[in-house]
Amino acid sequence: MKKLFNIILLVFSLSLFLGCDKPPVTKSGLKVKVGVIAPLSGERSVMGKGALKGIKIAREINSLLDNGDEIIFVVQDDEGKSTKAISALDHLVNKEKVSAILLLSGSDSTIAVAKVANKYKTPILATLATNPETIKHSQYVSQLAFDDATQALVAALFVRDELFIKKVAIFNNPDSVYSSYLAAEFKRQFELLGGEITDFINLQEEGPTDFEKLITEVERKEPELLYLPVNAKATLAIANELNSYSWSPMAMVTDGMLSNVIEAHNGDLSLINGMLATDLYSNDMELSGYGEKMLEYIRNSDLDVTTHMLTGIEGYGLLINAINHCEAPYSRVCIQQEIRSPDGFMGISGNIIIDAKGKADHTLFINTIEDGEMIIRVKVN
Amino acid sequence: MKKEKIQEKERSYVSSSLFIYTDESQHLVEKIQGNDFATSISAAIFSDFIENPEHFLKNITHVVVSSVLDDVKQILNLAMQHKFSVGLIPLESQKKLIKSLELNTDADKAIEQALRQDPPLMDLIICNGTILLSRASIGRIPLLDESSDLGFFDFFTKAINKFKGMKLLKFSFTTANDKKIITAASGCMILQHSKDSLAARLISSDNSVRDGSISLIISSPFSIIDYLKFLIQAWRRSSSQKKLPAGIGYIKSNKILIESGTELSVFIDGNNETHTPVQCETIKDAIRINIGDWLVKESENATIAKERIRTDNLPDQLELVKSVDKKIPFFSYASEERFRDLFKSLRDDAKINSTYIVLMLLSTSLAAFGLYLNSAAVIIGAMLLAPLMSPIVSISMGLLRHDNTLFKDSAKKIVLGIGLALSTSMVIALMFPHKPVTPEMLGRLNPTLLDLAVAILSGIAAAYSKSFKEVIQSLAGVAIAVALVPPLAVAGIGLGQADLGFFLQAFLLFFTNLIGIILAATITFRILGYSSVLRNKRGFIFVALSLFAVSIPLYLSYERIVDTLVHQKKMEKERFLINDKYIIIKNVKITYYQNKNIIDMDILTRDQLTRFDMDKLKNKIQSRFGKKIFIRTRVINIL
Repeated sequence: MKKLFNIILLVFSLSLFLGCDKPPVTKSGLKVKVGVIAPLSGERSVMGKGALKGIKIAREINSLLDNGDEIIFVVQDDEGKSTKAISALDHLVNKEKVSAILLLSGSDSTIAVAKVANKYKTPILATLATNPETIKHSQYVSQLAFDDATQALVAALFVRDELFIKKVAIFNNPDSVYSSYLAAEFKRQFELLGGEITDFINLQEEGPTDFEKLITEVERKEPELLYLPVNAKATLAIANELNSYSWSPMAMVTDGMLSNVIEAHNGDLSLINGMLATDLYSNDMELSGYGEKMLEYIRNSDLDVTTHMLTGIEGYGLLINAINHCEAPYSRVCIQQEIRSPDGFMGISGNIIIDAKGKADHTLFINTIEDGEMIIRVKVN
Repeated sequence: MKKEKIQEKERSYVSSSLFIYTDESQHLVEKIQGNDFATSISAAIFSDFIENPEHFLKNITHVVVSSVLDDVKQILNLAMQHKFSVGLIPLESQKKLIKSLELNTDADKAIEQALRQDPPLMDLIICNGTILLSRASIGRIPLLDESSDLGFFDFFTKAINKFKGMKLLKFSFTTANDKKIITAASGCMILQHSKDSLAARLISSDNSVRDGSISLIISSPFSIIDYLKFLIQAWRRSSSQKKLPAGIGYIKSNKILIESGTELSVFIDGNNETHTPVQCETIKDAIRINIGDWLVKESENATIAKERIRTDNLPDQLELVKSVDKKIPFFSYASEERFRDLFKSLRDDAKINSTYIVLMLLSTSLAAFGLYLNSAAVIIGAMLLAPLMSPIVSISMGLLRHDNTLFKDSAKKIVLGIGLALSTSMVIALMFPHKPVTPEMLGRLNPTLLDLAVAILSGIAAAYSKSFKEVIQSLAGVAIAVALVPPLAVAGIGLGQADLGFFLQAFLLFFTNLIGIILAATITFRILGYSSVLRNKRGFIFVALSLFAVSIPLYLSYERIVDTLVHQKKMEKERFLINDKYIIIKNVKITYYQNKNIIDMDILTRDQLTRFDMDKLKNKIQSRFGKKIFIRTRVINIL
């Protein structure tokens, strides 16, 4: 009987031992510097702060490399301005001697940084910029998210082939590189698919816009869907106008919109209820082990999960993964190669592979916004 | 509405009457004497009246009495002798009498009822010299003597309490026509006219105060299961139901002699008056008595009832030996004699004959061709034609009752059926050079716990259908549900194709069905009362262990099926962007064959897909699966 008990105890202990996570890493004392450029003030501070929050959360959970070396951050605020972003890059590379940079700025600043990046020979991972031009100017800049060409193409195909919609009206913020690119690319792709663009409206950044008049004019041409790659302020204004109308066409917004509405505008979420949204994430997406761990931490911290935050988390994770594959003193060349490793990195929901040109193969979700949450309509791999 | 009409009828009242009272009813003297019906009342104390009734009865044709039940019965005896009519003013405590004769509880109304002229005639039942006014009970008659308006909770609490320690005893009942019924019962109950008990509710449409008969209800719960069935039936019973509940017998005769194996007390109207043997006899139109309007109405329409004996639900002579003086078992014992037809049918089903062989050959051939044709309709036809279910049901009964002949005959027939099915389908598979694996075949290669559940339910349904002639046609439905021959045909095709995995997976489904049906049918027969004990315990344990053994691979494949369904559901929402080509996935079906996931799906796209695109797509899908996948697609172009 005692023998049997001992065997059971042994089997139980073994199973516990085998089932355990790997033993915790202890600090080696060495530090690896990583630079962060983010718009922490100015108009675009919402996305910068959100992404930085994500990086901090990810670091709090795992601040050490597999060998015990510690990751430390040097953060620079670019105020959402291209010139400041370039200055920040110079400071981080030349003064701080960082091993790699996480760039949390929008497409405008990121493109500006990319144009000078070859000079600095430092791997830069742009977590939020989705403009395809981001990776065209430098071999050192890589994207974490899908690019806008992909986003516009998928949106056009989904609208045409799955919603069977023929007529679309497009709204555009001409002052934004992001908005202009998406609007133009969607128009091009949709027309190639045999669709009709009933209106292409450039919203003026300066001065008041008479949305009532605008919507009345748009309605006359009977579009079935409004494509809105515009900022949160314009989206809410259009949604508000539609809400007071008896006309209710479908509407599609682009990545990060829900986060912007929640974080920056504290807007009436019911206004955007039912809108379609292309995004990097979804509230009901299947999570990877890494995603489970991160989201559990966020929920326990009583924080709202936003797209910006998740890009910060994934950016940090991907960079750490790349550094882990290199040996101290972690050459920038090695990190650069590992960022673009064909094995990729298992992100929040799926594998992210950055190709040799720096373009990311990241899951794209087409969601429906319901009560402040994004519910999967389709998942594009 | 009807009640109002009765009340509207103009009444007349006796001109004079004698009121007999005791100390308990003395307060009524003044009230009755001052009645509103111009009836002159003389009053007498009960004891004085009994001493010299003739003295008080001079010129008296109607007597009103208000006293305890024994006194009332003495007055009724005198009423029979001296031919006077009777009115009753019940005491408050005489609730059963009030309900039984529909008397009024309010004193004024009771006086009005008691003084009515021309009271109707009523039969009297005399048991061993004692008048029975409401009911008599002998032995234990669980719940039958309880009030019919018991609440749900009280009903079941009393039901459980009354059942404790109950045994069946030997009883014999001899009717006026000298018919003797010997049975085992826990007790019996005689009803005069009682509407306030559950027993009365069982025979409410067949009981009148002037039908010249005694109604006897016999309670014989064979088993706890029967008793529960009786409780449910009694609780829900409506007067329109003609069939008596299980374990309940009913005799109607003008004279009944009740004898019991051991002497039992006889409680008449709640009092221990006598003991068995007891002879009860009806005296037709014995007295005139003022009773309730509805009873009067019933008695006016009453005809003399013919003698009736309904004891089919009671144990007969052969079963008596098994059940008397023993604790009531959980399940009933049922003799072969009692279910002669069923056992004859089961024995016939266990015999091998040419019809069986021909039908097996035909159904298997049909199933095999249906499988090759991927035709669900042909396969269903084969299921209906298949005669395998009958010997499986027979083997279950053989197992339950340890009837070796039935068991062996059925087993031989099943083995022959399996052999015929495998060889026929194997030959068909060998005859055809092309060997497609159709979805209908694939569907029979992945048995899971759900198939076992279907088999178990089918086994229950099969045993139940076989037990009741009225639903025997349902066996066809059972045959379709469980589908015995198609998996055998698939297994035979596997043999023909020399594919052991194919054979084993399909045979596992058949074996699952076989074991599931046998086990479930055995238990169902047991619950239905075809054996008080499971006699072939060893056999049953063997079947149960087989079921357990089968459950392991079934559980594993069930897990796999769940996993597959989850994948299928997820994939329906997935799209792929391969080299800027947007791919929509529809109608995903994942099957598992020889440790591989086979994915059949439709691809909707606008673009021409190259081999390179397809490989990339496969790699993306493969990353979701642990096991190697095979993808078969149908590309649909979007224009």
